[in-house]
Amino acid sequence: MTVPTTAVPRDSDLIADSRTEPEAFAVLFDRYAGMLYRYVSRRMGPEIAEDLVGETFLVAFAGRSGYDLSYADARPWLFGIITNLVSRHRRTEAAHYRALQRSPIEDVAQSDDDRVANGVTARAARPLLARALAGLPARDRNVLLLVAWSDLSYEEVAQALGVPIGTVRSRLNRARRKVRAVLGDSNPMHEEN
Amino acid sequence: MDDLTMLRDLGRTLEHEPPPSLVRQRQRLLEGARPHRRLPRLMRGWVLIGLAAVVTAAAIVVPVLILHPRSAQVAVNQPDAARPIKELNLLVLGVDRRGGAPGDVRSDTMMLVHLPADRKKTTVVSLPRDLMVLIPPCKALGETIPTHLGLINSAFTEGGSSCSAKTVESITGMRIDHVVEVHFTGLKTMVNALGGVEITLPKAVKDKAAGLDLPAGKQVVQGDQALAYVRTRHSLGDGSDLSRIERQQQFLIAMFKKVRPVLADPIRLPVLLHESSKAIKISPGLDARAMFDIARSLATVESRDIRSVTVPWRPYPPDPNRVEMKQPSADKLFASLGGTPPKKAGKKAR
Repeated sequence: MTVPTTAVPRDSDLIADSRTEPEAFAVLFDRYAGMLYRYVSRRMGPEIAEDLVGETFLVAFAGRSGYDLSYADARPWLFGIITNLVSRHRRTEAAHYRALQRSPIEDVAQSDDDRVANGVTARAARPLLARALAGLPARDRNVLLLVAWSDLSYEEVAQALGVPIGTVRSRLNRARRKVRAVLGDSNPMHEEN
Repeated sequence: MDDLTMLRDLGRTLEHEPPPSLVRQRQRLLEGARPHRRLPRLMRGWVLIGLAAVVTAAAIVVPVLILHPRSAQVAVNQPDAARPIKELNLLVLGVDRRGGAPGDVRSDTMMLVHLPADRKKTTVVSLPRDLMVLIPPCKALGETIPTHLGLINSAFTEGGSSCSAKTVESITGMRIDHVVEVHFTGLKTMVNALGGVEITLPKAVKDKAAGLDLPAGKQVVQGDQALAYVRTRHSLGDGSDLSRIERQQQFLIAMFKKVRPVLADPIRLPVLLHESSKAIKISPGLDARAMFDIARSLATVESRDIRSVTVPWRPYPPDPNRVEMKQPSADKLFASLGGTPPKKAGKKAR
């Protein structure tokens, strides 16, 4: 028995291989389908997430010959694709946030003492956050949610969206300002600050 | 807590784990980026299996209900007497023989079909075979197997179709009027009676073991080839049960298209009925008149009037390859179909 010398293939290797052996692309699916599903289920709900993940890989597969192989990590590319697909379903996303705004706050497990100790819980802020997200322009929301809900760095977000990193920062700042404004409107915790 | 942290917390509460059915999307990828018909926007969010099952059930139910040698004659000769139509719940089981033993049969496909009295909207609920449920006591070979947790399709293996019905009744609170067993082996006679069914193959398939030898492209398959096509697991798709189920459903959709015009054809209908009766077993049996009435009430059902859903489910924590019903959505669904799902233990005194 020999010590395996071959390292795990990089994403870019798989993409290169897939140009001649399409099956190699399935390995990328196995690597990232779960991650993309989790991300998009947050934005759109689970009903449509599965289909969007499938579409993302179809789009990626169709565009694999144009992939710049100098990027070893395919995640920004895949997140970029799924972000584009999400924007085609703006109504679904909006409905998702609307439903969140209506959803009741169920903090029954927590006693009032806990509540005081923890300040306002994230769950209590949920309708407000949902309202804030719904009110953002799509390109600001895309940046904010990639930063908050994916593991991408600012640089990778820039790569995913095809914009300069400075643009990522400015959109992020603008989005966060608006979110804070909505939270501050009616969040007692922020009024104390 | 800053806004980004709160947003991350929100994200975590919204996140869903990838379902086992995500494997279908892998299959979709492997089938290549070949162009596919896009579903209307509204329907795209549906679970694919549910969508296919809609038509599947219609495909099965329509011929099934009228499939009885006796009903064939009655169907053409009976005057069109108006008779009150009742609400009807059917449990459709796709049954296949495994191995050689005569008793070695399994139900691989399970669908609950709800036909309201006005027949305007039909609902088809697919029950995945990997669904973990409480199987109520059933009699098997003179012995009673006590209540236990098991895969829903094992009820059939243990106690036959009556046990399947009992199990489904107990989890849904819906009354099952009839169990319809559709045998794959009998399927080929139905296909032949229909003059073959059209399928499209992405590539040529040659599988000696399954007896399959088909060229690529659109074609009409008959008899043994049709049966081999719906049964094989290894030479088509990715070898998974999910991809096979999908193929079976597509096949049944194609069948449904061929069946519909026959329903209105007094010459061809009896032939189809007679042939199909070999593939189907209904219990408790329906008298000819009842079947005729049901068949007539269904002839006006279009596939768009059929709502299909898969029972709301989530991965079964002890075994991620299995699933369990997701509550309260599952109970809500059954309640909307007139069922009274059992209350959680302890809440309701019997």
